[in-house]
Amino acid sequence: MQLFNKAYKHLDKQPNKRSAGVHLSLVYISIIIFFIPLVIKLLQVKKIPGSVIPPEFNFGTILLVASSLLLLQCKSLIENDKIKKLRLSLVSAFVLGLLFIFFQFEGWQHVYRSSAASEFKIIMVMVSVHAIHFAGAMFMLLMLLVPLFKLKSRAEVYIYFLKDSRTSAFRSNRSYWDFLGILWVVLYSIIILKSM
Amino acid sequence: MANEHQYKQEETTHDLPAHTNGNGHHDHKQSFITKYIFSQDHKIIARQFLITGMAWAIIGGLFSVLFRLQLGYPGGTYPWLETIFGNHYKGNEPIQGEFYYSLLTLHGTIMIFFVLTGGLSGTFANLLIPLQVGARDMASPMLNMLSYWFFFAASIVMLSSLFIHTYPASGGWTAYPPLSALGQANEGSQLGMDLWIISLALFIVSSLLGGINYITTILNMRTKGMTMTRVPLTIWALLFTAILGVLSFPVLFAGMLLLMFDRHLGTSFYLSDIWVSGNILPQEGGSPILFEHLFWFLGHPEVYIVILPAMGLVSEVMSVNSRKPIFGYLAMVGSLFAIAILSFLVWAHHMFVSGMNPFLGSVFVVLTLLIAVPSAIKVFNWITTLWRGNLRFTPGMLFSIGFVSVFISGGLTGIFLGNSTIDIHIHDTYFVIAHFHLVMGVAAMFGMFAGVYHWFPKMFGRYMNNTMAYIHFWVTLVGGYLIFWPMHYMGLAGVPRRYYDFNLWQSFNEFNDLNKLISVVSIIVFAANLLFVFNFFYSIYKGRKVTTLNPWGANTLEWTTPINPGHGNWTGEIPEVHRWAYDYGKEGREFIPQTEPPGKEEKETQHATVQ
Repeated sequence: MQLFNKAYKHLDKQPNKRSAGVHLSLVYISIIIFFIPLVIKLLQVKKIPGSVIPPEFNFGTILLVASSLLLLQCKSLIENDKIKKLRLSLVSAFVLGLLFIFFQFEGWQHVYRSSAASEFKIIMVMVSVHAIHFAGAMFMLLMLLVPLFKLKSRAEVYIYFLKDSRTSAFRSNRSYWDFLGILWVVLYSIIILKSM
Repeated sequence: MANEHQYKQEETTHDLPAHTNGNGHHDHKQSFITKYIFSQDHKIIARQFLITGMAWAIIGGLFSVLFRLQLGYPGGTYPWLETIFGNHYKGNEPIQGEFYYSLLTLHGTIMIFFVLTGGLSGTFANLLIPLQVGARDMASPMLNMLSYWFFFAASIVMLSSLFIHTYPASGGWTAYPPLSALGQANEGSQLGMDLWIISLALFIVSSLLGGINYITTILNMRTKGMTMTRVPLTIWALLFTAILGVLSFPVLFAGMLLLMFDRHLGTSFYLSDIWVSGNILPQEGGSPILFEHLFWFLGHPEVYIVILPAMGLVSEVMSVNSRKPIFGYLAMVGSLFAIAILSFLVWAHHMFVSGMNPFLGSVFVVLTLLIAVPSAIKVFNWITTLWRGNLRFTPGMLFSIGFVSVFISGGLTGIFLGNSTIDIHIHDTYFVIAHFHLVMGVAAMFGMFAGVYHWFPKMFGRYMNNTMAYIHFWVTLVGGYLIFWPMHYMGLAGVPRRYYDFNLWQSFNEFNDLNKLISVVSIIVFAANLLFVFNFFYSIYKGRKVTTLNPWGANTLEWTTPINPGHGNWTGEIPEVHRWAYDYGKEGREFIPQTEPPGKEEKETQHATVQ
C-alpha cells in the first residue's frame, strides 16, 4: 500500500477541486435539455382534464420537498459530528424518496389507465424519465449511507469526513437530489397550469 | 538528418526518475484485467475505443460491400453469406429487399455512431485531451471507463440484432416512424427495432458520460500556463464536439423514448390515421414530423460531432508536418465556434420536402448557407498553412491533405443541397449520398487515419509500416472519388437512393455499368482498408520501435511524456507551458516545444498573450 501511495503521490497535484461541480452542472444541463422536447409537447396539449392528473402526485410532491429539507440539515450535522441525527436524517430522506417513487408509479398507472386522449400520455413519459433519474439519486444516497453505520464515535465521524472526496460526495448527492426535486416541482406546476 | 539528430539530442535531456522502469511505468503491479480491460487510464480507454471502432468499421464496411454487390450485380448469389446470416439469407437466392434494407440501416448506424463518433471522438478525446492539456488523467477516470463500457454494451446489443430470428432494424439510420413505430409494418420493425433503440440509448449514455468528462477536463485540468489560447486546435475541436454532444444527444434520447412508448405502451406521439392490412389502427393525434424534428435536432449536429474532431486532428498534423505555424489560429477557433453554433440552427434543411412552410424553409436555407463561411475559412487556412511549408509527406500528412481535398469536394455540393429550390429536385437521390459520404464519411475517415498514423508512436511506442500506409492512402483516395463522384451524375439524373434493384426501371438501366464500376471499386477500397487493419496490428508487435521522445519534432505536450507513458503520463512534475503549440520555424529554429520558456529577447506570438 505504501508503495502504491508513493507511486501515485504525484497524481494528487492535479488541480481538480472544482471538477465535481462542473460535472454536475453539465449533467443538469443535459437533463434539462432532455426534458425540453417533452415540455414543449406538453405545452402543445390544449387543456388537460382534471381527471387525468392523479392525486398521488400531490402526495409525492410533498414527500419530495420534505426529503430535500431533511438533506438540507446534513451539512451542519456533519460539521458537528452528530452521527445519530445524520443517520436518522439520511434514512428518513431515503424512505421518503422510496415513498415518492411509489406514489409516482401509482400516478403513472392512473394516467396509463385513463381513457383521455393519447396526447396527455406525455405525462407518463415525463414521470418515467424523472423517476429513473431519481432512482439514480437514491442509489447514490444508499451508497453514502451504508458506510455511516460502521462509524461508532464522534471521533470516527470527524476522521471519516476529513477526506475531501467524502464531503464532496455528500454535497454532490444533495445537489442532485435538490435539482431533481426542483425539476419535478416545475414539471408538476406546468401540468397543473395546463389543467386550469 | 539534421532534424533526427536534433530530436535524439532532445531525448537525452529528459531524465527519468528512479522509481520508474524506464518506460514511464510505475513499479506497482496491475493484473491484465485492471490494466487492459477495466482500465481507468485514458490511454488504454482510447485504445479500447479505437479497436472497437475498427471492428465496427470492418462490419459496417462489409455491409456496404454486400449491398454494393446487389446494386452492381443484381440477382447474384453468395452461398458463403448463408453461414453468417442463415436467418436472413439463403445462399441460392439473390439478396432480398428486407435484408438489403437491414444492411443499409446497420451500415449507416454503425458508421455514423459506432465508428465516426465512438471510434473517432472516443479514441482521440481520450488519448489527446489529458496529454495535450497537461493532465494526469480525465477529471473522472471512473466515468471515463463507464463511458467505454456503455459503448461496448451498445455494440453487443446492436451486434445481437444480426442474429435474431426476425430481421435487424431496416427503417434506415433515421428510423422514421410510422415504419419504425409499428411492429406490423415489416419484420425489421419488430425485435430488431427494439434492439436498435436500446443500443442507441446505451450509446447516448456513453457519449454523454464521455462528453461531460472531456469538457470538465479541458476547462478544469489544464496545466500551469496552458491558457485557452495556447491549447492546440485538437483540444478546441474536441471541446466543441463534446459540447455539441451534451446539448444534442439528450434530444435524440427523448425522441427515442417517445418512439418506445408508441411501440409498446399504446401512445401515439408519432402516429395518426394509420391503415395496415385492412385495419385502421386506434392511434390518432400524433405526427411523424415531430420525430423528424427531434431526430434532426441531433442528426445535424451529429454531422459536426463527426467532422470537428477530424478537423482538429488534421490541423495539428498539417502544422507539424509543414513545419509552419497553423495559419489563423484564432480564425480557426472562431470558425469551430461558428460551425458549432450554426449546427443547431439548420436541422430543418433535412426536411424541405416534409411539407414545411416555404418561408420557414428559406430561413433554414440562409442559415445553412452561412456555414459555408466558417468552413471556407478553415479550408483557406489549411491551404495557407501548406503554402511554402517544408512539407513532410508522412502517411498522416497525406491523409490530412486528402481530408482537405474531399472536404472541399463534398462541401461544395452542400451548397446545392442547402438550397431548398435545388434540394427539392435532388432530394433522396444519389446526389445526396455522394455529398454526405464525401463530406462526413470519407473526410472524417481521412481525419481519423491521419490521427492514427500520427499518434500511433505515442499509443504503442512503434511506427506503422509506411509502404502499406502509402498503398492504403492512394487506393482509398482514388477509390473514394471513383465511388462517389459518379453518384453525383446518377443523382442529377434522378436515380433514387434506397432502391435495391433498378432492373424494373428502363430509364435507370444506362447506369448499370457505372453501378458495376462503383461496386468493384468499393471492394478494392475495402481491401485496402483491411490492409490498414493488418498494418495496425502487425505494427503493434512488429513495427519499428520508437527511439526518441519526439519523433515528429512537434511542440505539444504529449511528446514530452516517456515513449510508453504509464498511468499518470509524466513521471515527474507535470510540465509547465510557456507558449502556444505552433512555434514552428520561429527565430531560426525548426520547432520550439510548448514547455520551453521564452528567451530574453523573444516576443510571444501575438494572440497567445491573451490570458
